Amino acid sequence: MSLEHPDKIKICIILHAHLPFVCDSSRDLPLEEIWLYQNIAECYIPLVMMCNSLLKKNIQPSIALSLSPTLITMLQQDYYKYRFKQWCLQLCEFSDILKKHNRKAVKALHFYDAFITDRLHYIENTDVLDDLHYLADTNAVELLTTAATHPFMPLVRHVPYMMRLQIKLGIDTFYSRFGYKPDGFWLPELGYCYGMDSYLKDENIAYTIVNDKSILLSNAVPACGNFSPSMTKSGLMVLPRDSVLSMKIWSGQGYPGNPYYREFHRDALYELQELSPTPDNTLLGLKIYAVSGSDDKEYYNPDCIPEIVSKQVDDFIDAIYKRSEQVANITHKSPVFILPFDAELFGHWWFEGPLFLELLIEKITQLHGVELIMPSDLLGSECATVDLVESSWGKQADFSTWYNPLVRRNAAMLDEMIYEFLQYVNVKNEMLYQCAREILLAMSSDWLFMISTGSYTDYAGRRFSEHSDAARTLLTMLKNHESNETLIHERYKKYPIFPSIDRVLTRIEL
Amino acid sequence: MSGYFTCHLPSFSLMHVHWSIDSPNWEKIVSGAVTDIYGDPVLFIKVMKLHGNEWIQDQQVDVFGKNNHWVISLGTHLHGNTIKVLLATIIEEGQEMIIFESDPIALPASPEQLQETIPSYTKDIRDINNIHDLCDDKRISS
Repeated sequence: MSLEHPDKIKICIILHAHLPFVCDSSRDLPLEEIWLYQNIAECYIPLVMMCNSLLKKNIQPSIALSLSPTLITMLQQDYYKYRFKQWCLQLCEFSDILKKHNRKAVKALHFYDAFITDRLHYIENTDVLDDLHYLADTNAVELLTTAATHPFMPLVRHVPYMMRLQIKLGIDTFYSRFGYKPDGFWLPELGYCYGMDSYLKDENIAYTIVNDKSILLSNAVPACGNFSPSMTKSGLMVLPRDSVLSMKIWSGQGYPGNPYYREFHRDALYELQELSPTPDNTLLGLKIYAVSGSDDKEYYNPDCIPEIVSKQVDDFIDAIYKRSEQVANITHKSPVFILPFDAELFGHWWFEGPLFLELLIEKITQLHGVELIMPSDLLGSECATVDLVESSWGKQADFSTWYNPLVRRNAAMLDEMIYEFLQYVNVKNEMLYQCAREILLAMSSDWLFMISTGSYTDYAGRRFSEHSDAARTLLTMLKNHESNETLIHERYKKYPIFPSIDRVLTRIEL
Repeated sequence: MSGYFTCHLPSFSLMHVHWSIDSPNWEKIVSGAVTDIYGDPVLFIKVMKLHGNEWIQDQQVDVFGKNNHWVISLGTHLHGNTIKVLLATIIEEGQEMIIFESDPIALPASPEQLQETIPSYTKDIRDINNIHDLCDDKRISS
């Protein structure tokens, strides 16, 4: 190991921030766009604030954050701050209406008012990506990229061109925003299939994260198992997740389920639709209930939260020590615990998550036997070579969450489009570039996930069809040597993503 | 047939089967095979057991997809036997067409014997990660 303290337990927290491209400037604040604003208010801004708060206490946050190209693009839209403010004001308006209607909810609503006002102040004065850029430049956090539109990559493993396009375009989008190429690449859904390491190595990616099963089901499990980085034969460092520790946070029975915490699943509007400030009763994301113990929900009381979070952090640190002892008995080495999570868990789904993270980081820095590291600290470590097994972080660690009877037609349609697209990749004109954008947007793993899990199925199906239909129309026109600039302009205006796709397409060989 | 077909035995009772059929062959299969309600060719994995000099069928599992990853449960009766795994379809005349065929795979005589071949640290590490060799579902992957 090239690390400074080989005997210390190492904790590597990696957050993956991703939303599919949900902005639609042609509509008046649609529900899906509100998902973005909820995450900005509840997750992305709080994570930046958490880092700044730690730095003020002279504590390095030392977390890694993967930013998806679709999210980066949405956070660069000119109008997003305006729409974010519009959403904040609607929330405040709704909150005021509720205060008059229900006095018991006043405390929770006042808390929410202050929370939203704080975010408004932030967005008027600074920018999430600028702040993250600064944090990365000062080595307080490490940024990673991921595939362009976050597809479940094993579904296109038989089309090397598409694998390369997704990877190159992901890196290109990151480079365009931050001015350097990242060392790390997040595999969407931790979906690893054979040969993927070579594609990443070809793009000078130094490391990625895999699910523990990719290591643990291998025929020759490295001596340190999933408690140390390993190396593929192509020279890519892989950081295997520790599912057991992660589950203390991730699972239904994990920390976020505490009855005093804010309830994610119940919007205030569910019960009080007649008071909605929006004409179509859009769920604004005003959440004022606590998880409680039953369907009869209590109102959220923020006063008791810090103490609960602190106890959970102590419990987690205790779990780290116990597990470390367990591991060291087998491997005779201090473990590296890789803990990857969806960033949106911290703040959006689990409202108290950023506070948990801040206290955890703070307490870890006070411990002698434990240290926080970032993935690039592990580069240059001694690594065992491993033959990775195909895996994902979905159900049963296989591919079935994104490839099952409910979505098999979508996968087949994508295949057909991609193969037809490949016939025209040498055409290199605006028709082809827009066609590529549409196919890429249709490939998002989110649509397959939503259809498979029955969550916002209509929206996911509609988005998949919209991009597939547009791609097919463009393919037909390419076939007939036709052109339609109005169509290209309209489609790009609606989904303004990958402006420099031509630059990337010309660099990939069939 | 080009593409690839791999059978991987991470534990005694579970076999991971991965396949990917390249496009020209897939199109040929689609045009000639019996299709299911989705219009995809009917595909199945067959586990064949060597009985004397003859290969006899042990189990057949319906699968789908131009490329997919399936987990097959191998029963205890296969302990110590040699098996091979096929990916096949039915062509319109009702005949079976083999798409991929594995090499013969000699399974250990008992789970314990397989365990003996696994280094103890692997067993221990799998154990603390809750990787248990418990699966009686033939279609845990799809």
